[in-house]
Amino acid sequence: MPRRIYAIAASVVADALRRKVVYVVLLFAAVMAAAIPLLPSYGVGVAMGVYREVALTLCYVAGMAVVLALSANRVPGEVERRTVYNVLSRSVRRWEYLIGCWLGVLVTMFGVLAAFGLIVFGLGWVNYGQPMWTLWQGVFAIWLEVGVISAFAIAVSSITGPVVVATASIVFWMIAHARAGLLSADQFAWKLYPSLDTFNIINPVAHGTGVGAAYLATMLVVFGAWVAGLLLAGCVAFDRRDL
Amino acid sequence: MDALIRRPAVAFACIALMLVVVLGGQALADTLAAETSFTATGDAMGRAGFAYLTGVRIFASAILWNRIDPIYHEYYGDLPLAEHTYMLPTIKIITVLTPDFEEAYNVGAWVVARRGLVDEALELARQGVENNPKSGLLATNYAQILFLFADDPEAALAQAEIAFSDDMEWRDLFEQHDSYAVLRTLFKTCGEPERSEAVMVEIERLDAELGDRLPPGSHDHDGDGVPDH
Repeated sequence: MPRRIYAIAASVVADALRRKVVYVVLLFAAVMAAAIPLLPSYGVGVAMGVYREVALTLCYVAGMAVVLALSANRVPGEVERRTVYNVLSRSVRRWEYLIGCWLGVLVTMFGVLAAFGLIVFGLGWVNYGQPMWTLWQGVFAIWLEVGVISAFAIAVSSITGPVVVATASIVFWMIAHARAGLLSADQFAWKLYPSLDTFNIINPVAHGTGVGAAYLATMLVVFGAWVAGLLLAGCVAFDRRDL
Repeated sequence: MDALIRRPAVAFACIALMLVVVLGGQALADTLAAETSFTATGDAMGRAGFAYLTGVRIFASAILWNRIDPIYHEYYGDLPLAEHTYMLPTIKIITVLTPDFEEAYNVGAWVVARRGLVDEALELARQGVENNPKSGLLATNYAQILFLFADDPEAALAQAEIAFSDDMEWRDLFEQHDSYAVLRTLFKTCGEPERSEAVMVEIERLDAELGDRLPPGSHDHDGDGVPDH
């Protein structure tokens, strides 16, 4: 079973690497990152904090753009081209196919975000003369969040087309980050609102000392639960779909 | 896994369980992050976008400001300052686009103050000082508004001291000279003759340094060394 999932994931990674969108977004984001030291620093003494904040925001935006480009059309494209039949007719279960797709996108995003992380880490080191190790915490959190977005996109893509998937994913992303705007922490509904804010550690990484190991572990648990729930829903839906 | 997927009730129970884990996890994360200031993702993206658009924002502000200037000089030059309300929406946009556009706060606060809206004038002048803590022009402006319109000589004196400090930056000697003249009067009226004298010494020094030069933007069409209007 894992062998089949890994094989599908590997083919997704190979396919992603052939697509220009990954390199274009990465290049564009890298050029913008190189321009960060030229931006106004909002005040004396916070230039490094601003660099980290803008670098992570760029990483986040670039990550979201790439993950949507990779996830939205993954399953619908294969269904439309009918190549999915070749895969599913070889004793590959539908859920294995779906999880393999998600895993492939996640591995690709690991490569993309690691590459971007190296660029901003290197640029920060060169410009400010000291390594900003906490940047990697931010990159890790962004990777987890794009993993959840990818799981949502792939779950939705098991039943509908790429335009709906992209739109639904953006709406999901907005709703999942709207908790702080809609509610306050002392309201009971705050605790019942599923949110992606757990992965938002830009401020402590940019302007503070980062987050602790306990927080990172909590992020992993939340990530696991989000992904498991979303992919399970996607697998159930895909299994019932008349292909 | 196959059995789980084929039994929707069990699958949905698992999804519900995962949701509970998500909610529990984020509640724990909230607790762990209680001492850390977390920013909303939108705020961070907004700030980054705002920074990237620096050049565009300054360009737009300059265009807007240049639009006001000829209207003021060619159409409404004879009107008292309180009547120049047409420029207030533009000034507001400029201060939002470019928070370090000093002239906008200076002129805007005076127009509003002259119309009797003292609280609004103070707010605009205070914003100017907050966004441009090194601006001598805006520190003087704030002191003047506090003194003349808010009737708060104590706060005006404190602000005047800031404006007269060495930390302040001036765009040119003319601006510094004119602002010092305001500060001198303010110190004198508030019963601080020694500070007033200290300002006078600086004004004389600036006078000597400026000589017969005309302020930037002066119109000396006949070349007699005296501004024509």
